[in-house]
Amino acid sequence: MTSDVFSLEKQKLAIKNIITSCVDALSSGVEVHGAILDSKGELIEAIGPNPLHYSGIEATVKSARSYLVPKNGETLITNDPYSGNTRLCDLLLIQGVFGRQQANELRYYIAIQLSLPQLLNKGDKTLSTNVEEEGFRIPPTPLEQNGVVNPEIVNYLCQSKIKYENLVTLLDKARGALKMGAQHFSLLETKMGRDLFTKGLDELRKYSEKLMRKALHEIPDGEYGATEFIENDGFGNKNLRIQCKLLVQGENILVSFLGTTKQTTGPYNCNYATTLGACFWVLRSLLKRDIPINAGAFKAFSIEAPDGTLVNAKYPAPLLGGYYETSMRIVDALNVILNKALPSEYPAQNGGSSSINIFKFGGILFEDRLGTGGGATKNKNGSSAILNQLQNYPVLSVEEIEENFPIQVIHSSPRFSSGGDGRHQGGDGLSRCYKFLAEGQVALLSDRRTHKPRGLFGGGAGMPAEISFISQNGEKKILNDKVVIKIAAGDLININTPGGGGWGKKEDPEGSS
Amino acid sequence: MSWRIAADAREIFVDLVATSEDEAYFVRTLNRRDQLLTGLSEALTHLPIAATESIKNGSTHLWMTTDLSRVSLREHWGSDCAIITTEGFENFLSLGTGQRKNLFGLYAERSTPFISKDFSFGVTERTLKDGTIEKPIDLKEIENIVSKLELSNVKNVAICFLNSKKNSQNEKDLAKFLKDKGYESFCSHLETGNELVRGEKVAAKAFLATTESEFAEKIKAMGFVAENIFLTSARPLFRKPSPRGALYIEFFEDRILIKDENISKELEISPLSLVELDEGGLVHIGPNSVDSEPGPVCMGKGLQLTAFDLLVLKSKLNSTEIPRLKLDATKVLRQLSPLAQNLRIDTETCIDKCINLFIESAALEIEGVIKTPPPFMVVGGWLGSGLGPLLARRLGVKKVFIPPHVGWLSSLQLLEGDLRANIEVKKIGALTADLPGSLAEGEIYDL
Repeated sequence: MTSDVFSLEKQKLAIKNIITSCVDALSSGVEVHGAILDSKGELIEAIGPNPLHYSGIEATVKSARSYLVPKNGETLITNDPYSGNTRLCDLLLIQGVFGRQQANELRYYIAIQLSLPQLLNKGDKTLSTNVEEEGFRIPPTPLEQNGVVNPEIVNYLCQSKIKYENLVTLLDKARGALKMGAQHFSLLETKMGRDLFTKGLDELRKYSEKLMRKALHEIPDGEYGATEFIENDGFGNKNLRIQCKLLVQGENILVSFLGTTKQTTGPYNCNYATTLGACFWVLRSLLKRDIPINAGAFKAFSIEAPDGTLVNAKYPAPLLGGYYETSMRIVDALNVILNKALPSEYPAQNGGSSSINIFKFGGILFEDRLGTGGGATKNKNGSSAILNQLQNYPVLSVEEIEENFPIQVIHSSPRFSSGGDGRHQGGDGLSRCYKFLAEGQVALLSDRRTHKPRGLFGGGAGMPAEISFISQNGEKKILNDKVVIKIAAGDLININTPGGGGWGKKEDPEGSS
Repeated sequence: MSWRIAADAREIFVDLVATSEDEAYFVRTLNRRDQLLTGLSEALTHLPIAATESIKNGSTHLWMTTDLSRVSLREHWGSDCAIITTEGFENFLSLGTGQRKNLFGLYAERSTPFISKDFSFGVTERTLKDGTIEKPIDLKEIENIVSKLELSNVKNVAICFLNSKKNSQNEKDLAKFLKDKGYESFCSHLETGNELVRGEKVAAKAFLATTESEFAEKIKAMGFVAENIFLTSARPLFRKPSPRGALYIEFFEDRILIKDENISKELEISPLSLVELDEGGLVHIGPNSVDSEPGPVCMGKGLQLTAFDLLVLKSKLNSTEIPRLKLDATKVLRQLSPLAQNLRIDTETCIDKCINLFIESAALEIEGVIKTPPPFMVVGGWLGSGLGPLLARRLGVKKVFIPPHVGWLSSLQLLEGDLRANIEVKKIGALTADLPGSLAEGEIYDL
């Protein structure tokens, strides 16, 4: 470290504070991620509740800048997963941060990403075979026309039946927040002095990289592998393989997905940024300390994700389930690998599903997000009904669901005894039952309905998810496939999410596994 | 002659004001975290005989603001209690928002609810989102629950029904039934927020009810009559939105609170935040912190350096209190030296830079919620006199008001009403003769 460490810490805090303020200005009722990037599109800091978005924002800004650079005061908008973005419902707004002396010199980018699930409402085909069916794709485009939000863009997005006024208000707020953030960032650079500031950014990158490398260095040299499966893609393709290998040789860490199934018909494909984000979350989790989420943190490892596979799909493969479920399976595979490489440090497998199912009632779209059981560890039972990997949003309260959607929730409780047995018990999944008060359709996107979350060292597997449909006349059906079903008022759907894996044999005394 | 007593009782100090018609006494004592009435008890021994007699004959009124609820929730000092909810949702406290404590980490940690699932019951009532009662409560069902409660020590019951904010009838009916059976109940329709938020609030109230009533019993045992005791957790000086755009800030040993017209927030950084040099070579203050046990190094048990320790070295505490607190600066210096050596700076510079970083971290947090510097700042808390001006300078606040004895001012306010609205003239003048220092004027810093 060559800079004054106190000044560097202050710079780190100040940068995080700026991006946090931007996000906080918007976050009421909307999921928001934010990032500051350098002029090459490399992350300086990112915040938000789902790390998949950090790599998504960086990839998108890098892609956008290759053919469109925002002018001073201009905002770009895109949601394109084939530019690196996460989902089509994640609107990424980007502004440039320009030099205070030279107003035309683009020094940095500042970006805010707004997640609006309603934007996934396009046609009736919720289980898509093409990314264009998943929403309204916008390549990087100037958001404003004559100084105001371009109504053509808003009208295009409003085909999803999102309210025009609400969207314009939100976009205006985001533009304001970005402008404020850009001003503060530019001011911070001026106050510190450009050279010192730039040097500090470089030091912070090295710092994150160093700490990441140090954490990863705990993994002994070797080659570790694990295979996980997406059970089916809703179009007859079953057991889609995610072949994951971790190759460790001194400082070099490679996560390889060679041998992974080719991209599939249904929406269980990931773009590269999503795969990178999932790997990052696992590897970053080895580190016990907060670090700036910058390009340095991502430099500590490499990824080999062959083109045209589930983990690096090419246009026009659909991607929505890849974001929700395949990313989870990548985490599961790496979790197994870490348990091989560093036995007894890490938990058994988590429930491992976003448990996202999309409900549509006419124009209204609702996605509920449910916790699953957590894997047990050497010392603890798994936590129950919790969002245990990647995303960490607050889930909706039952009253909020009932207020906003034609749904009555009949019960919502832990799914007792669904965690795997063991000396330490896997956490229980969640059981939630919905009664529909209007006709509509439900797309069952969630996975882990046949493959159980594995236990460790003799611990039992968690129970897989179980989704049942009970028609208004009492007829019950278990649904194991990814399907879209029509629902009538009075029908019920009961969703039991997976339990976590247990740790150690139940009969083993403490410490013997 | 009847006396009136007010006490601002915190974890470290108790500031007590006792007044008859023409006398006023001011006492400050040390308190104990594990026995929050120790300080009050000792303070009462310093009062004149007339006051003690007045307490004995039951004519003294006591107003007291206390940290009891906060400390009890933090330390889980509560009693067995139950929660009754809409059937199918009886475990909603353990489900919470489904979030984990940390974004990163392969093991998902979550907090433990105040009420165990053994005492969580669901009943077949249902209120719909428009307030229609689909199912009223079934008293036979409640009888069964009550018979289970009778086998336990439970005396307090939280009630949280879905949509009770739209129609509270079912909650009210259940509360009445429970009252007739001798239980105290806490209804969620009286709280704000969705069912998760309301449920947490009533569960905490039920959990604390016995602890709070035992606390009141102990006060009664000192001679006070029940109807003459008024307890609150709010500190009057900082209770209401600030007048004239002031920023109120309180510095305690374990937390920093800010308040203005729009926000009320506890900062993430606190004097108990750890001062650490990490393996990447950066110095942090926070986000990790020590608990009040073992506390900072200077208090004897702590092993990790905190911001509090540095403030002790730099005499940024109210110096008159340090001898009584027996703070061990030598021990702090022993911990600090390796840090300074690692950073290749002398200890004095190291302390200054760390305190500066501490102020910077607090300022950035405040700037995250308060976008423009307020016209003036009112500073409280026993660490306030040392830290207030530093923070104000960093925030660009031009005027700082630091009452020299905030605890007493707070106690006086308990006796006299809202002093803040007109802090210069109200009542204080009449008591000045007995004040240790000029309470009326305080310290005003023009920065």
